[in-house]
Amino acid sequence: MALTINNLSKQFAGFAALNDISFSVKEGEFIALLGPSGSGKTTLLRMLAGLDYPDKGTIDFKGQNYLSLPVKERKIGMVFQSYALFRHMTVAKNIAFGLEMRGKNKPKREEINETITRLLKLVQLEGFEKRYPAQLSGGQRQRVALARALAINPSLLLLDEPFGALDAMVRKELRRWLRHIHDETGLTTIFVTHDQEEALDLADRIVLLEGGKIAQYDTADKIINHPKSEFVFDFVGSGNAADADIKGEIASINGCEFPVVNLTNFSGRQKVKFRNYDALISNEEKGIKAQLTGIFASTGFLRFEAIDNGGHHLEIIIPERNFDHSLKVGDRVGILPQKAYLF
Amino acid sequence: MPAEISSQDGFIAPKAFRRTRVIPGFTMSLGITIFFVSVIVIIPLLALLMRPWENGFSGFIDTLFDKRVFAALKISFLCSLLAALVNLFVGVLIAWVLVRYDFPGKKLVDAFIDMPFALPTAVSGIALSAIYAPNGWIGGFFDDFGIKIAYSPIGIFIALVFIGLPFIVRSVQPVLSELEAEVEEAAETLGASPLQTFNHVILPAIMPALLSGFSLAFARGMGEYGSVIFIAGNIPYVSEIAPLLIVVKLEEYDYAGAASVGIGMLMISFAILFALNLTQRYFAKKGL
Repeated sequence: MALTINNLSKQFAGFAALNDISFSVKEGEFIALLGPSGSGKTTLLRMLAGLDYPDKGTIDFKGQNYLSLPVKERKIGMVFQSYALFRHMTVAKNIAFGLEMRGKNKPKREEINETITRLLKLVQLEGFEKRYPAQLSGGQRQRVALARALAINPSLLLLDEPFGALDAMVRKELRRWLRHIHDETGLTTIFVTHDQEEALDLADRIVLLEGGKIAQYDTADKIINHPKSEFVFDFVGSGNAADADIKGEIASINGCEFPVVNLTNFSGRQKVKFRNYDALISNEEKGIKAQLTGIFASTGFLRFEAIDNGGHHLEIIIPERNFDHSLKVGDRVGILPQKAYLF
Repeated sequence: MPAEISSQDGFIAPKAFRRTRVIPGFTMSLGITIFFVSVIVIIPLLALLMRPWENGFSGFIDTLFDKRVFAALKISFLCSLLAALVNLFVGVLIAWVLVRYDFPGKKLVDAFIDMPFALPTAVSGIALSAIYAPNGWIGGFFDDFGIKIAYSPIGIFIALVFIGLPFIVRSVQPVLSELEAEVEEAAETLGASPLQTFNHVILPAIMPALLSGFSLAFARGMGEYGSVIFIAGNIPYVSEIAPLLIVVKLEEYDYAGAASVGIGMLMISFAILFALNLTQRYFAKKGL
């Protein structure tokens, strides 16, 4: 294990920002700290960087007690949401900053120039050496910030909502590219995000935080298909709730039978949850009886909104090519869950 | 159905299509600008330039390099420069504290910074001489050690520090608060020491504001009259400031002499502002 965090806790004016956090990260792993705002993810990242200090707990990085090291000795590459570039410096000088500040151990001029060229190539900004941050787009600035963080040859790369301030298209592009850079450098990387899609898409493993505690620490696949709690289920995707009769591993609603994942010792009538894509719509009187209140087009999918007899809203998405074109808003339908979760 | 817009000849865009600005009429607003700058600034300055030639150019030079005038200009110049330099450090420190820290009474301290701006200068003058005079609190303390603050250049210097402080604080403060704490944190994670962070990250960022605050404080110090004359004691060759000499000359009906001193001061102020502009341009080129 490269990084081991044990029993980390931090109180802010009476409320627990972090509550007994423990997890470990393997060398070269790409980890996402995911959670709603106020879940403590940024606090945790800042502690790793040394910009915040826990009340209790330990952080161990490759046998070093990180908490005993000041920020500048931790050799951390940190990327901020606001880019935090030095406005009065050119791109090249921004990137070289960490090397220039080394005093007596400052590398030779040619070495610094070689690093700048290499990193600009890595972040695909060749020819931008002489530009100032004000002359760059948001995505370009964040790439410069990453190059600057990589220049000091860090042992750990930390990113605090790196794409938070960018628009959707650039976000998606930079996301893939960040993963590419990670795979190329092999750096242990931890990044904070509140966007579950970004975390699921990018990270090897995800630390999902809820109110300062770890709700689940798993791979994307595990988090999506085996959520440990209702919070995890709700946070990583949308779903619906319904009452079903549970018997063994099978649930049934009005003649529609479907398996229940992560079943424990429940039986009888229970509330189950199912994903909006884990259901079919039929015009038979089966499953959850509901009335369609809206049909919306999306890319490749159609999204149906319905309301059941109890007045609960349901949302189902179905691939466009499987769409039964006879369905109209106002129709009475049966919603057939295919797979459900019980918490 | 939306109205069709044709590009045919004779098409006049409806009014809503024409660009308007909040303040109407380029010609009118420019006219008012030029008129005001002329009447309020340029014409009086020109009038000043016309004055001192009654005794010819040599008369002007004689007045300017008259021992008493020259001493007064020198005192004014040195005291303002020194006061502005001290304010440079103290002002940055105060702005820093006000931007980066929260403490009880912060708003009050912030409001008090403007006092030298708001107070009538004569009131400041009386207040300052009251405490710095040999029988005042602070003046009395130093008097025991044989140091005279009031009625000496030190008194002038203190009055000018008082007057110049808000110029530096108020020009640096907004720039500092715009500089996110994350920028400093970034420098720290990159291995910079606090001193390196200040020198390489913060100082360059506030430099233009600092320069303009400095030159404003300096120029204001050169011309400051009300708050200085009470504490200065106005001893010729020792603690007499240039603006006071203008008043003295006017009282002696020596209008040409007064204007000559005025032009001397004008040249110094102009040189300061010019130097400032050059440095600012230098920094602008560096992308600040």
